[in-house]
Amino acid sequence: MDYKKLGLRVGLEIHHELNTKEKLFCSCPTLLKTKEKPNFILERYQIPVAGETGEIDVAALEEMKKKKKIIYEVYDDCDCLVDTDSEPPHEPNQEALKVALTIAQMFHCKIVDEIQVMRKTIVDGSLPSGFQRTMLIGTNGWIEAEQGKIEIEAITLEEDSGRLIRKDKNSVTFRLDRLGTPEVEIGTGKGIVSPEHAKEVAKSIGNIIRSTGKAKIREGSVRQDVNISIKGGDRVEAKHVPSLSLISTVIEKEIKRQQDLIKKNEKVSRDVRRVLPDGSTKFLRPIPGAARMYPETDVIPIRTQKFLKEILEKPLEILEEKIKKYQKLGLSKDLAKQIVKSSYSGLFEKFTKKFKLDPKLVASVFVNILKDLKRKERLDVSKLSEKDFEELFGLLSGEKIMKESIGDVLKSKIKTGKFIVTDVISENELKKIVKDIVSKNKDATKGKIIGFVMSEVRGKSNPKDVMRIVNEEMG
Amino acid sequence: MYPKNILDKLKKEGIEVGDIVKVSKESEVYEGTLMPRIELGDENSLIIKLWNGYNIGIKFDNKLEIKKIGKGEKLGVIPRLKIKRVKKLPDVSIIATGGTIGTHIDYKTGGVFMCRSPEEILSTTPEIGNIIDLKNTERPFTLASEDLTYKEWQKMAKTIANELNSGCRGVIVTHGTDTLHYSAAAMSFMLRNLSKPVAFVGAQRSPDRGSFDGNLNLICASHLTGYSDISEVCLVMHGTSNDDYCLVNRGTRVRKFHTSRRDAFQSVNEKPIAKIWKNGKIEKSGIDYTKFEDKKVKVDDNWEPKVALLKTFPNSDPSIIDWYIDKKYKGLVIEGFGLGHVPTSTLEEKNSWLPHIKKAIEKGMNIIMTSQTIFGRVHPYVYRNLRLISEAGVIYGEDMLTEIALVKLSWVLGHTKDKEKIKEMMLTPFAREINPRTDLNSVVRSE
Repeated sequence: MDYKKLGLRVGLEIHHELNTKEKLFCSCPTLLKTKEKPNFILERYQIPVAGETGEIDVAALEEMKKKKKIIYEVYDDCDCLVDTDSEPPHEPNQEALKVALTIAQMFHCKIVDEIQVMRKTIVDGSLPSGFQRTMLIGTNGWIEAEQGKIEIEAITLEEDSGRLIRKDKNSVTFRLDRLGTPEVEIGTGKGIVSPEHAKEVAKSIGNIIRSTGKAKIREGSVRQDVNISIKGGDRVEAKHVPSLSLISTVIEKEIKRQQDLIKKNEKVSRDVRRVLPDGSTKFLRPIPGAARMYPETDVIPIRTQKFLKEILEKPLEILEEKIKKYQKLGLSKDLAKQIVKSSYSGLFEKFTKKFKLDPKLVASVFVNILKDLKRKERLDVSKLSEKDFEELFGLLSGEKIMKESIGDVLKSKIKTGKFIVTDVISENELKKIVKDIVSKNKDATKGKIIGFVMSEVRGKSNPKDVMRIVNEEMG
Repeated sequence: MYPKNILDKLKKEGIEVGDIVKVSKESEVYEGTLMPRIELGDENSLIIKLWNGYNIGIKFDNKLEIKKIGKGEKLGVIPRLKIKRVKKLPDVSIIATGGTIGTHIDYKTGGVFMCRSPEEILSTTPEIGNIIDLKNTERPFTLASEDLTYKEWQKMAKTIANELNSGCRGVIVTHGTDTLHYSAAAMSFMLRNLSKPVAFVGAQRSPDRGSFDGNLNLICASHLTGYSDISEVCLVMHGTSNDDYCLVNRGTRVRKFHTSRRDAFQSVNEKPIAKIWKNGKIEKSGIDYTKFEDKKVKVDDNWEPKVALLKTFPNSDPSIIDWYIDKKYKGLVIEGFGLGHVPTSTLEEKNSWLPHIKKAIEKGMNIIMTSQTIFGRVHPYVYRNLRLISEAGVIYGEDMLTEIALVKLSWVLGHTKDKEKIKEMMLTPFAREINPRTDLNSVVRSE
């Protein structure tokens, strides 16, 4: 297909949560659901509001027609009154600002002199305030991609919204644990030439963000929106494309949809469309106008000069330096490279510091074991959160599980949501097993016996101990 | 306003705030609407609203170039709701006095701006047009509640009475929340023979946002004033953090307990009169209230402004009372400890409040005791120190809230200078501000 002739224009908006200690406008930790049941349930309604230019927004009016009860699930360890819209925002999180400014620099953006926090009106109820606090950090950047330079139009830092849990005729339920977690949004400008290219660009943007080591890794921490238009059509926003691989399909299907409408002489309307699992889309709401943004007056504007100076003095480490640092920890250059390019370098550093484990083992969990689970077992490893890995490495360092069983343990965690740990076999039990196998296989060689024992105790005992005991038993 | 150097440059280029401009600085170019300067930001920044809706500050210097490229839309216009009168609905008037419930974003200072007409307030809560027939909207003044004085209360009382006496079934007063309970108390005393509902409402979240809590408060106040037989000065605000029901709190028994929550207002020492839902359902708690009658209300707004409030605290210096004596104050409310204690039998005499209190009373001052425990009743005799203070002539204010005692003392002193009469009036309930029985359930909610 000749996309140039079609007049294809594609813009990406990549949202990525940041792994800061605290939320963007309060001191709550950035955790997800920490217990079975929420501590509080709030029931609210939202009213349509006028924008800065005095008109009630079209998107708000659409939503007003279906005034629904909004239910919030609130958790006392990761929500406070700021999250429930019962207290004004605190000062913006300094760590998040520093990371966002670093990311803007990595995308060669022009950093704004003075950041003004804005209130972006959000009408779906996902934020108890009725707006999302967001700030423009940088503009006019670029990245080098395979088919030429891609413009980066804007980089913003914003608070994440609540998670949609349920929706029915009369109400909609959001969980507020995620609300307030800082996220960066990268918006591309000109440069994307084809659906496949869009996918590649999205991938490189993600890699750059993750190379800071400050990207949050958990279910739903990355979200992609794609803006698509062709000549004779109009801009349509495909919201929340669930995976990188689906980006090109979504664009191709939207091109087809707009072409069909044009052929039938119908108007393409400027809509936000929901992405379905097969890459097709469904009408969600009209694209909101610019009227829905006005200043957040509870937060004073932020001059960026001071932060930029700090970043110069103590920059976040970028790729090459990191690879060198990991090699010093004993990783091969190849393994070091792989961990840096993966989404897990932040976690790798954290856990090698926290637990007395061989860094090679920690790295190979993130690189090799996850790759196997993904490719061979076809499991969704993005379900594993930071907390899960923390638990895994805790079990390993406490010798509650053997390294041979890591793959199985993670597999059960993904499938059942639980860590199933079989007890490590004690010295006495192991001796009993060895004795038993030797007596049953009187003619077998030492090598064979070791093989039999190992297949019996795999994952529950250390191969070194097995060899030692077999040696003792067989002389 | 921008500083002079920026204004000069703008003037030279023929640019006004609101124009669409192109700003070039070194290699960077920004296009957008020139916004008014924000009070709190860098004085030397130009504020531009970019095409994507974001405002940014651009540091102004000599290298910066700015050109007008178009005329922008008018800023800060608030939608006005045309009021359609529905004859069959009850007549209610709204009196707008200021506060968060009547604010919108001020693009000049970057703060909240109090200039909304009652019609503008209605634009956030069009629902009330189906509940009441909005007979009249009055705006006697527009002030943040912390800026009010008794002079505004006098004006407020006259405005409310005027509406009630010209055929309204009830009146809604929109008001800032900080001193909402003081104003409600003042109206409770100033409006004599009141037999129609007067509902004070405020908002803890501003109307520019979808989560504006004043919406439910206004709806519930409309039901109360339009249909209920509860005919007192009431304060109608959220009962919980949910948008489910409002509490109808008596104007002389309520207090603000939280800086920012929606359910900041709670009744003290008695249950709220009722709960009220947005569909008009009312659940009464069973406590007494004044019933509806179509009678004329009388304004009695005599007032003594020289009244002050003092709070005791450990290590406090009681000679502050002497200052009030010198300034010829007529009344003093002391918010004491516990049952109504002040430092009395201290080891060092300089710390005792007793001699200063005695001197004040000799000089003709009237002193009322309330408690900083907020809940409960003060008592003049339980301990020796209490007896010493009450024997000196301090009036123990029963179960009256400090804020209410303060308002009442000014009102009482506006009527008489006679010591015995003052004591008698202070201990006689005029608007159910004192109850000889303390309700068993009147404790702090711990939800």
